[in-house]
Amino acid sequence: MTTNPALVDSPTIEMDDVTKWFGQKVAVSNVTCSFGSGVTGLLGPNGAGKTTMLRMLTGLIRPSQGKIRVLGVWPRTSPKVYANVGLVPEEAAVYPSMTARSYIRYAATLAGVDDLDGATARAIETVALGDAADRKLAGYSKGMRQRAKVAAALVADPQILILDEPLNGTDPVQRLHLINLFRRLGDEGRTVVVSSHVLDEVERMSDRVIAIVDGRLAAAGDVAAIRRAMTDIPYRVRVDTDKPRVLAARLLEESLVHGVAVDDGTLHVETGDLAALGRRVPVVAREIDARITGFRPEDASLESVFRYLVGGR
Amino acid sequence: MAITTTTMRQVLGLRRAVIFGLAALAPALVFLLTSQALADEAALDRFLGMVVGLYLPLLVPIVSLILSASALGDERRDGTLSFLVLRPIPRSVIAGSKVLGAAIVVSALNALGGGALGLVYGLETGSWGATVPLMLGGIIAGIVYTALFVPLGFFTDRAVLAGLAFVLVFENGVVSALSGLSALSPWRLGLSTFSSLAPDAVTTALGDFGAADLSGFGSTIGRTIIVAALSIGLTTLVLRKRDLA
Amino acid sequence: MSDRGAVFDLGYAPYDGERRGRKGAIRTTYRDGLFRVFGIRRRARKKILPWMLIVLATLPAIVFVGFAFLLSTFAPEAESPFGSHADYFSITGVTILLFVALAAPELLIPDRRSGVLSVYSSRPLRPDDYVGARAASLLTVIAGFMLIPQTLMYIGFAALSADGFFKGLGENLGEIPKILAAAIVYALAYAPLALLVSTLTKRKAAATGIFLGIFLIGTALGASLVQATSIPGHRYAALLAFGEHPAYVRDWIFDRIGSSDLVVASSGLDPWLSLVAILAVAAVSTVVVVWRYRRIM
Repeated sequence: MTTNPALVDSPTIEMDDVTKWFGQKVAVSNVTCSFGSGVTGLLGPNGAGKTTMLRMLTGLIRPSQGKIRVLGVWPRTSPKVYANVGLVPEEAAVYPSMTARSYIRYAATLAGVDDLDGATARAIETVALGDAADRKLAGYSKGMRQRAKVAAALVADPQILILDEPLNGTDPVQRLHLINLFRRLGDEGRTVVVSSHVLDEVERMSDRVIAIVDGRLAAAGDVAAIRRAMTDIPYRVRVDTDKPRVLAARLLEESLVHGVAVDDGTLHVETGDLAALGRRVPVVAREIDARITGFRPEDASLESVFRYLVGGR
Repeated sequence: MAITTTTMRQVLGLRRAVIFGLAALAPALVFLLTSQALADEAALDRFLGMVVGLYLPLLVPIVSLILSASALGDERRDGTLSFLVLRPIPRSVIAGSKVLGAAIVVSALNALGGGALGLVYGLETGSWGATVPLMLGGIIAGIVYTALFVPLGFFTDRAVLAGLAFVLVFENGVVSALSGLSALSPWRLGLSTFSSLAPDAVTTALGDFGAADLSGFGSTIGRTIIVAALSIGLTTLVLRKRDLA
Repeated sequence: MSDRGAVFDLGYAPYDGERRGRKGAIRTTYRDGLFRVFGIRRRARKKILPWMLIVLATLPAIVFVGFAFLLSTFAPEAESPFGSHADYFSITGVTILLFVALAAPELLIPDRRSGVLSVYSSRPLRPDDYVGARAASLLTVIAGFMLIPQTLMYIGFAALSADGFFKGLGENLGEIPKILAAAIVYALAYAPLALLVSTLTKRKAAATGIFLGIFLIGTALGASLVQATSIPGHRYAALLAFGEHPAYVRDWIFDRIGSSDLVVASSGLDPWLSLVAILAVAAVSTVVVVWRYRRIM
């Protein structure tokens, strides 16, 4: 079993020391990671290199250096592997003069699907395009186009699904529907890689996160583990108590506490060791006869983690 | 096959079909208007004037260039290339299908133009022997242009301009002055085909139109096949080696 | 009153510089058009074709002046066989046509395809301003294309004049209005039609092809149809020879009708008819382009 959080056991996609540069600009730099079953969120601010990385994973662009393996092969030289890969690119990628049905059917045909009508109908149903499926894509809203692209990627029932900002332009109902769909596909054991810069979406979809900042691998793993790994950034904990100022003064004497603040009757404590603080606070509270009604880490969310990662640039 | 039929629909939508269809019929229409009451010999002169003055050196290149440059170029610029290439299909098949789709549409339009012109000439003079050779000439020239401009269209959206500059400056300028270079002129390969297969009277009369140093039919077909194969090979190479997004 | 919401000062400063209004927007659109046509601030690949065509248009002028210099040095008595100002329009005609076919689609089509017209619309720029600014960019480029080499020749020949530079300049003063008039005629013959095709076409490649096709096929059709002697008024078919009208009017301006082998000339049409054809096509093209942009902007 691997100990590097950037790598997974039984990977379907592997990136080994991959770098990509365009002229003088390095878009992705020395990234080593892998993807396996379940949903992995590819996270990063705009321009971090997410799209470049996803395009490399599918073989659309070649790495300048390093190796990529999808189901054990480099797709460019072994295109058969595309039978098991679906991509939803960020850009338009639809033929405006086609109806959604003919577009999805075309995708099924090119993927070598046997039951074209059945597979097309199932894909349309999966993304809930319904009656709109027989309208031309030129008249589609951005959200509907996104769903048509997802359907085209799913029509061949791929083992690997790569989605670049798939929720762009979707309304809240469509968004929820697609998030549930991606989760379900991940739960079925497929490899689903979803890029997004909307943290809330990634948090709701992903079991695991790969964070890219300035083209470099900034963090990998589940959100809590990544936060735990940020040992140089103290945790911020909210402590609800009836004696915030007394408890604050007492906690400052503890070596594991880096700082305290009392804000509108609420105590905020900064520490480098969350678990130790959790054990120590009740003891100290008992000593000063304070009552603790709440103890909650304030920055264990993906948003805080991401802020730290990006802020550290 | 699906790629070929989709390519055909892509390069020739309804509006383009009408515009290019009408353009293709223009030489026939002009010939019809200008050949009334002409003696057979004069009609042949005017017919060949249309072939070497309008149909082959202008109409065939313009129609072929615009349509073929869009076959792969539009996929790239519209962002649909990823949809096409991320499929379990060898890149050579994708390349071949794109070239084939464009070539079929271009051939159909050029055959329509050449066929209509030959037909009007046949109606006027009762000589039908030039119709099929002219259609084949247009098809051959169109295939060569298509083979050259499908891959070029991938690289630049200025392929049509570059192509027309090639036609105007090199083919209709330099090669006209230096007939030894005629093998490098695609529309002259079409003229060779026409000249080789047309009745003797037509071939003899063509000599007055500067149709010198033309290659034989076999050699023309050979060159066309080589150019088409090279084009598919180059397109395959592009799809294999280049970044596609 | 509510204390549940607040806006904090994050230090963002609103733009408090000069607002240049409509005129500024027009100027910026015009300048952007020039940059776009020449590929300035774009990838090197975008610069190749325009600059190559500029070199092609200018090089003959330099060569002519150079030869004239050699001639004046080694055989001062000999008459220079090289280009008059009128001839030079013929030499650069194809280059200018190609450049317009390159530039007009570049000016109009990407804005529509990438959906940035709405951004222009949200500025004080009106549809007519946008079209006007783009047309001005194109006309400037065409004027530059034609007038820079002409100026080079004018100054070059004056410098080589046996009577001295200033005398040389003065001797050919009468040519200047003719050169300007011919340049305007060429610009009016090419630019409005090119903009029209670029307005009605979605793709740059198709616009280029169709524009050049109209000129080339139109000219060939005109040349053929004037032979349709059985049709009354067949000689007016020469009006289809779009590519020849500016040359015919140029010959008229330079008072050298009959010196070129033009279908419009041999068909017996008067040169003012060619001028009317140019102006009519330009007027109709302008009306359609403006009408179309008023609808989509």
